[in-house]
Amino acid sequence: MGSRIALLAVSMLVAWLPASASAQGGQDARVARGRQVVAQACTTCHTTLVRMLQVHKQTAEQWKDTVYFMISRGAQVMPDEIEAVAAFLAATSGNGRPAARDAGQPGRGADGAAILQRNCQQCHELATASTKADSEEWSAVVARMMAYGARLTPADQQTLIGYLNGIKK
Amino acid sequence: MSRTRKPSRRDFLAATAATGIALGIGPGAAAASQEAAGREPNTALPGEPAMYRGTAAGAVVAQLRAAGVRTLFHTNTSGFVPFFEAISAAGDVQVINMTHEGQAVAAAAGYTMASRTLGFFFGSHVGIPNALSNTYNAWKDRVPLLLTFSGGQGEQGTDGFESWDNTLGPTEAFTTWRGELASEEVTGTLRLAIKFAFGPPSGPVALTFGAGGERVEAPIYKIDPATMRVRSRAPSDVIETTARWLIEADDPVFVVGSQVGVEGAYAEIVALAEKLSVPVAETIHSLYANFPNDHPLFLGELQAQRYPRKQDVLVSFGESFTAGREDERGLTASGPRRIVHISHEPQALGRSFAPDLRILSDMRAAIRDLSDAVEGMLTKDRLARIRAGRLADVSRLTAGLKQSREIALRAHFDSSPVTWERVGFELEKVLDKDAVIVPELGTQYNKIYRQLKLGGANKQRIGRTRGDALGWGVAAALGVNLALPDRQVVALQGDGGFLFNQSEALWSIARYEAPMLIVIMNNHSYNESRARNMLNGGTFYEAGRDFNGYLGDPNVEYTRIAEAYGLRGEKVTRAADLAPALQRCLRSMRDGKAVVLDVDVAVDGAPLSQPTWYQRYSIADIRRKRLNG
Repeated sequence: MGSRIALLAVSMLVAWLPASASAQGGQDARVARGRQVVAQACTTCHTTLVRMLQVHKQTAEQWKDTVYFMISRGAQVMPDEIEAVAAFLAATSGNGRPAARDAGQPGRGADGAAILQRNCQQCHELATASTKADSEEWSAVVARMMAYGARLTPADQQTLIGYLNGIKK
Repeated sequence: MSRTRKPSRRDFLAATAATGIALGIGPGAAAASQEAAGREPNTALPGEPAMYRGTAAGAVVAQLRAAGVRTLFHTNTSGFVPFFEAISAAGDVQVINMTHEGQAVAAAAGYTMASRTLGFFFGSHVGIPNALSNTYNAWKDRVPLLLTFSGGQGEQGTDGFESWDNTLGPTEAFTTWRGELASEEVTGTLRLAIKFAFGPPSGPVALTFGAGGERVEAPIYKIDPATMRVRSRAPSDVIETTARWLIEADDPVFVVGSQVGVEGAYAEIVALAEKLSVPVAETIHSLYANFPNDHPLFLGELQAQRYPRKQDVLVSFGESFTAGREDERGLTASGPRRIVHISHEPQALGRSFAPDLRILSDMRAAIRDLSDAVEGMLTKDRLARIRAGRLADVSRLTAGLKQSREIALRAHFDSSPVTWERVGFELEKVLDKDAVIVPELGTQYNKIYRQLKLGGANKQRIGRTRGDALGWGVAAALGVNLALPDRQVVALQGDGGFLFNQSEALWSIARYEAPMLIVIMNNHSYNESRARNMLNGGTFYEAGRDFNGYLGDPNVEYTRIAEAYGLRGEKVTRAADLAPALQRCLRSMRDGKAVVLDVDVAVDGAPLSQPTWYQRYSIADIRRKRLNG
């Protein structure tokens, strides 16, 4: 009897371990999917999304309400994407200091990868960066994003352009 | 209510006597007409004007009548006695009195947009500043209006009422032409003004009204507003190029703009989109519901567009793309592609971006030509294959989006304050299929629009473009109701916008028994600006306060405003009460009385910890002197 209980406990533990890992993996996959959807469906209007996410910390349930009213306002989010978007927003929002404060500190240097990650990659995928061309084009892209509300010092803009230009195509 | 009626022969003879159209009988002005050639309107040769003899003001009435204008909007002033005499004598012209020039211009604009005719306003020259905000709106919306103001140019700066030297100068930015309606060339000037009003570009024309009781002999021109706009048709080569691009495209998109609505080319654009199953978007400043929003090809707003991700051809039908950055995002979001811009207004072509093809054409003609060209280039089998393949993809997408909207609707269906989606849902349940919606809302409008079936054979929407000055909606809806008395007219009005001088319109709504519904979407705030101010954080967001958005303290009792004007008022604070309240509203409308329905609706955007905070100030508290009383 005792050996049967021990066997059951071990099998449960074995069953639980992959399940636990799978749940975590599922959450990561959901967040990753949410990020992709946000990049496609939200940044078309919310050009200052990075800043907004830094500012507005909400739970997944609260973000789900936000997603609902954005759907009603015209956001093109499909039914099976709602949870993923809310998960991504909850996982991302309120993290780190506002970019404007970081980037705006005098004399504070930042490497291109960090600037890209902090300011661009919450919405734009790295794949986007690796498909573009020369530094003149990147200058235009960065200028456009500045017009849309990105917050970078002139020095960080140049660092970012240089970094993007150097990414292996 | 004094309604426009068909004049009897006796009335008609009396009218011709006073307005001076020559029939060879009658006293006064008509007698003078006997002295001359005495051509009657109905005996003039085709294209030839009839001759009018009588007062200059009468000539204005006669010319307006010959242009089909029977409804005139007015605000109080002196100086129009000869004009009133001629109006009264005409027998079939209705003056709608308004109590504010700006509201009168809005009503004239609403009337014109709904009737597709010509709007006419007359009022005081010192009221020009009052008229300007809605003149701007009419100019922005390309609404053909004649705005006339008392006094001639000769009196400018000299009559003691005002000190500016150019009476119409303040209107210059928002009018397509300005002139003086004097006794000399009175109908020629009016005819010219009408031509300018219909453009291109169409819009308001401002005139000083100096035509009084002077005797004139003036030609009266038959004018059909429906044919006044300059017609244009594209050369076949650019149509064929567009057709070829469309056929070769994997993921084309149509953008359908307000010019489709102006021309009423709804059926044509639906047929063309269906021919190739091209998905259809609109911009955020579309003035009308130009495409049925329940159609499986309708994607929604261009700016929000996610699918098709990589568009290769975009054809714009009559969109002016005046929203700047938002339009630019919509036009560039999918990356490089061919853009064809079709417009019946040459000034709009390529104004804010550089299309690959610019086509000057009427919408109806361009759509038909393009449709013919596509058919001429494809076999029926190939056309069917293109259509079927794309339709399945787009339908799947739009069905999914519809399902998402349904989920969003149900998420807080029974919440109080009432959700905007619920308001739209309940309105859709009770309104007639051909009801007309006249909105003045912030960018939350889609929460209601997408619950309503709008466009095509469904309900119509008239207004509102983005960037319009607030204080337009209620009076504009009155104008729509005047033009479309057999249809339910619903003003969807934000509470903030209503407080921009709109209660005045209720007086005219009551006097002329306009049986319309005015829904006040009452979130007790200027929520549009509040939400935007909070979007990117900042000191006030961190403090949980908005500096200027809160509209409570005092909370306005809109129902009591309605009752002060003799209208019915309904107040809803709970979602469950909305449907029964709407039923009562409809009964009141059916019985000929307007209703103001004040609905407590949810605030949109970031929640604040101190939502009712504002910068308090009390004049009573700072008094240092004790007042008598």
